[in-house]
Amino acid sequence: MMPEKVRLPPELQQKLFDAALAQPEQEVCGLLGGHANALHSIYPVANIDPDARHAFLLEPQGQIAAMRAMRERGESLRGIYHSHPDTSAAPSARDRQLAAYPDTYYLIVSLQSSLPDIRAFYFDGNDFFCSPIISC
Amino acid sequence: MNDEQLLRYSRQMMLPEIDAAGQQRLLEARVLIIGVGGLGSAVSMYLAASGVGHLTLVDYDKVDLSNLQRQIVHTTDRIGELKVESARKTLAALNPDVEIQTLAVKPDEQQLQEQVAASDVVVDASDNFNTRFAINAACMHNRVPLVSGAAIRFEAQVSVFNPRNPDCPCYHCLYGEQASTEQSCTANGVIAPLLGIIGSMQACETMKLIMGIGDTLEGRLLLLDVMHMEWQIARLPKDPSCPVCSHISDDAGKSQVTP
Repeated sequence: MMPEKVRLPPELQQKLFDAALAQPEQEVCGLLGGHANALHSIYPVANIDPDARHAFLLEPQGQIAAMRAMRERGESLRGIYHSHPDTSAAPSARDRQLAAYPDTYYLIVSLQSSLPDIRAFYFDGNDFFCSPIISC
Repeated sequence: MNDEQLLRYSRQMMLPEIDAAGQQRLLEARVLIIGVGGLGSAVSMYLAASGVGHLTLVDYDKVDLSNLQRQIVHTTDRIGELKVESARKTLAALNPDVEIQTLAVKPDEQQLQEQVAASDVVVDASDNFNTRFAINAACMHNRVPLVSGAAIRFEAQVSVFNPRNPDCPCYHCLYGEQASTEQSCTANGVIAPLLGIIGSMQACETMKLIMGIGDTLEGRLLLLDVMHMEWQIARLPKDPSCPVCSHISDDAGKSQVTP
């Protein structure tokens, strides 16, 4: 069954904002470790998409290293994050097309307005469902 | 197929996804196995037992006492023999139906291209990056699916790189040119059954490719940590600027192999 809400600690949300703001000219991306609907840790992965301003591709070796680190900390892959430098925090057509990890949360940080915005979407393998964020 | 073959392969032919048609494809298939060590032992034994008709084994090394903890196709009385010859004896005893060709060389590029071009599926069971890159390049060039496995210490990886699938990455997309740190079981150690697990999975993926059934690991890398007994799946993107596979046009169609 699909969990309705995703739990995102404020310090992890800040890390996501910091990561996006550190490279505002491109989409940043990475994995999020945790358990069930609770996200605990951020694992940044390089974006290897040639059009990194408008799209992201997770660098394979970075993914493998992140998964190993997750495993060693006893976490599971629970989320994938990326930023949108100049569009809203909603999945783009390409995000939908390339979504690869079923039963995870896709978190999108938007830098479109003066304050960064973050939204979460549960991906069931076929579609994205808006998932309210609980900050705790 | 004769009566003996029908009986020998009956337990897999009774699977509707395989049936007589699948078995016939296996019998007619040509698989190139590069490396007859730990992974190659499991791969070659399962493929031979399953009736894959033509196996080409490539390995220039000889059987050593320190191999026998994990390289189960070899035996104690064959220490000092070429691994390909030792493996040939085991496989022939297991299934005399199978035609086995052996190459006791470290193949140069031309040999590799020729062998890959003559194969339906290639299994990478080698133990070094240079060979893996060369095998990958030859497979991409000749559009032959590559079943790749690697194991070290308590961890392993397995995937399928299929140049007939335009969305599938290749080994070079995964490792690029950065993979200069050589690691091997000889230098770093490995727990024996891990090679059996991964080699068996390589055999399974090879059979699926030959028969054109199921979903293979194309675009996915399976990671296994036997110390914690955990599997993870990494979804691998194709590197749009990969110098090896990005130029392969996408008109090759489906991933199914037609022997």
